Amino acid sequence: MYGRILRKSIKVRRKRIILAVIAVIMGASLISALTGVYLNIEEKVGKELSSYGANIIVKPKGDDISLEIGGVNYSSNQQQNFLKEDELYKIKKIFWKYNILGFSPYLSTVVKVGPENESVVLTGTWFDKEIDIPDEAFKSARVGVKTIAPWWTVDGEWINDEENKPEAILGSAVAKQLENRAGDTVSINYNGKMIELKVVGILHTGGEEENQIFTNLATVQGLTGLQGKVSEIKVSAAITPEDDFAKKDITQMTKEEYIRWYCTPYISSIALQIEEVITDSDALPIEQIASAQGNFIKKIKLMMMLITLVAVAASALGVMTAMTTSILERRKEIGVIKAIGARTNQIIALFMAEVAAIGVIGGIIGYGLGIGLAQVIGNAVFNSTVAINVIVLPVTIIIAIGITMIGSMIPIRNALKIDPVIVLRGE
Amino acid sequence: MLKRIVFKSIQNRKNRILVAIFAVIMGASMVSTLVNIALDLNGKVAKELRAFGANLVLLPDDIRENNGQLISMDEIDKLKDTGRINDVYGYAPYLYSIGKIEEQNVVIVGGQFENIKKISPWWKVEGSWNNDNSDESTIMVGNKVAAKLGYKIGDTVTLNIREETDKKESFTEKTDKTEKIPVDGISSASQSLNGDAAKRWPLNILSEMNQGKYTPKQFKLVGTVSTGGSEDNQVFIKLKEAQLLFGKKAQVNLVQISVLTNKNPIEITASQIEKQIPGTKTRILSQISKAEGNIQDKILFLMVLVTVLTLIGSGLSVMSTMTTTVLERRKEIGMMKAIGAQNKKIAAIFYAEAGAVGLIGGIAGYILGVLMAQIVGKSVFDTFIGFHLAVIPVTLVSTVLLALISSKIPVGQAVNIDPVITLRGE
Repeated sequence: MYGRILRKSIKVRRKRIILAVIAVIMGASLISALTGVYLNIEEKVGKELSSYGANIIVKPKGDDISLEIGGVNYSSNQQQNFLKEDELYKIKKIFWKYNILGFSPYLSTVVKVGPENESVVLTGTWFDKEIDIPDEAFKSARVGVKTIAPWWTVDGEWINDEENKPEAILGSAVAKQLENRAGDTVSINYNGKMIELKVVGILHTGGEEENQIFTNLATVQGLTGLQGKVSEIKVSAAITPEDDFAKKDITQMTKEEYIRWYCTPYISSIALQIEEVITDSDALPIEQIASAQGNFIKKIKLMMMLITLVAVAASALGVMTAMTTSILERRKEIGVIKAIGARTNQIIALFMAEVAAIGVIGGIIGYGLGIGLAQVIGNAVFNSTVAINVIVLPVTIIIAIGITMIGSMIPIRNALKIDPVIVLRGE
Repeated sequence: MLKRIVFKSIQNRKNRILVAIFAVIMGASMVSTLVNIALDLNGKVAKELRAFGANLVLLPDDIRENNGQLISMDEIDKLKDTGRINDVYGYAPYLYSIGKIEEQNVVIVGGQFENIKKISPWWKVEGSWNNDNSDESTIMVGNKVAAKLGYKIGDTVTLNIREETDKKESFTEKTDKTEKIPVDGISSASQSLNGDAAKRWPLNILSEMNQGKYTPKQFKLVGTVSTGGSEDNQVFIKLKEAQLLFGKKAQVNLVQISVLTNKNPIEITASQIEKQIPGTKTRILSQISKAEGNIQDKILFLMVLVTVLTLIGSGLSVMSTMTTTVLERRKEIGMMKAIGAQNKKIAAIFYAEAGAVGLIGGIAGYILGVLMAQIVGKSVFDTFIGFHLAVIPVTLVSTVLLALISSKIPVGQAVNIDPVITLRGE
């Protein structure tokens, strides 16, 4: 009999049931969409912030004081310590390998250039190449300056790492000083050794890179006799912001705490893991980039969380009022059923069944719609899909059913308490 | 009489009216919160992004570089003129030289530390900063320098400072013959007249380093600097002292400028600065400015999308509630028709009620929304969200309209049906 009453009720009150379901769908989809976006926001914003470039610098342990301004090394004396080029691939084998977005090695020296024998900094690096990473699922990785300095603008051509031609990219300040343009040849003199490089492009960044000449790492290694050696590595890593736990002294941590720290992509743990694979190195966060990235991600995450909470609360309350309204208008019905002798719990069961059905259907459809909305947001804003987080489904359904039932319980209970005579009278 | 009917109706159906108002409040507050945040968001995000550091560098222009002329402190003061130059968040002038500590060549940086603290907040300093206002000769050293030379806070550091050779005379003939050089163009005029190609800073560092006389000066070490960048290898003294010691009275090599980019693109501020301070050129640091523009756009877009979706979602939710409210009163409508009321008058009663619900709910919802926006603003950005007058009429008009539209369909339907049918109960 319950089934028949339920079905007849739905048939007669079709329009109003649909309205209630719409209200639930709207609330549930908002909850599902915003929660889905919130859970992904750290990864999405982190990826956007990686366009600021490298946030970790790896240098040999115990190296000398260098003459550096704005990241350009003007030291003419030879360094004592170097890092090994053949260990570089290991950076993509650390625990947080998937968070390593790119890296590039550097070897700099001061050379004399041109007919005037002017002193200029010559820097060898990788520009854009794929290196093999043995024993890994991804087999190879893209590395080079393009992966850690995406803002570089080169007028002309980039250098092709594979071809290893004697080519150079001049920083625009150097090009002006030496009066060279693309197509010219510059003669480089290193302690009597001479090489000629063809200028293939001029670099514009607005920053101090414009004071350097860039060429293949191998060229500088050959020139200086430092084959297989590099003086520093810049790494771009996707990091999680430092919280109080990260700031703890690692020597004071218990074993469990250390494992937890190691397995969280804090910049400090990624830096440590790099030090573990590159012999005799010091890996430091580039604070200018790393701390600003961390703080910004924290703020946006907090903002999204608060907004999601506000929207979830307001949606839930909105759904509740929709249910309350629809029950309130049925007080007469409740009164009639009571008057003809139905027991309180039977009445509750009858109404709750209807309400629960509305909650479930509305919740499921709303969840699905919300997933779609989350993808729309993800694609429109970040050009990527929003990962479907399994936890959103039970959360949405539970909230939908819970809220619809609570929203209905209160008016039903109220209606049941009153003498049916009063309700039937119409008040 | 319309008033009396509406008031009595509200009195009798107090509970249901309150519920309907509550539904409107929920919807209106959500929208009000989001719109208030969205309107202010760009400014807040732009300010947060200044934590990445200066996005503009002010340098002497090419003519000055050829003459060995730098930027003067008076000219820098023009950056404070907010009437002519907008959106400068902060700036820090710098003067550089190469000196020796214990036979090691080291970069000596003269700076204003209050300004550095503001625009380069990532500097990690152990000990204390140099005090711009005190007369004591203090020094901060990069952590590499401290480690290599074994310095501790409180030690006395002897810097051997090079006296700059005055090059002014050798360049005077040139000034008449050089033309204004386009910023990124390559001109032969300046170079060919002088055997030594014009030594622009910092490229001149390498050739001038071991020449000239060095004079020792003692400083008290007050702090060590760690940044992971060039600062780790440098030593820092007060700008005024540096200017005195390097023989460059009231001059600086460059000024790092931190520019807000939410109102105007950085190119506009850069050209304003070049216009107000003739003889200088600006370089936009594309590392900072490109990433910044991109991120600002995305965060704003995200906020707008979320706001629009919430608007639609809560709008539909409110509508469904209001429609249900009216649908249940079809009998009333039938009754009024049966006793002779005109359709228009009946509709007016319901619209008046709906309008009242929309208005009251809208006002309360707006206020609640503003409060919630402040909470979000204070927790996330540590500042209050600005007050935007336009949001009030927009919110109220939308809630009233929404309430009216959602009543229109059921009321419209109900007045058109034969009262007999509605009175029967269907």
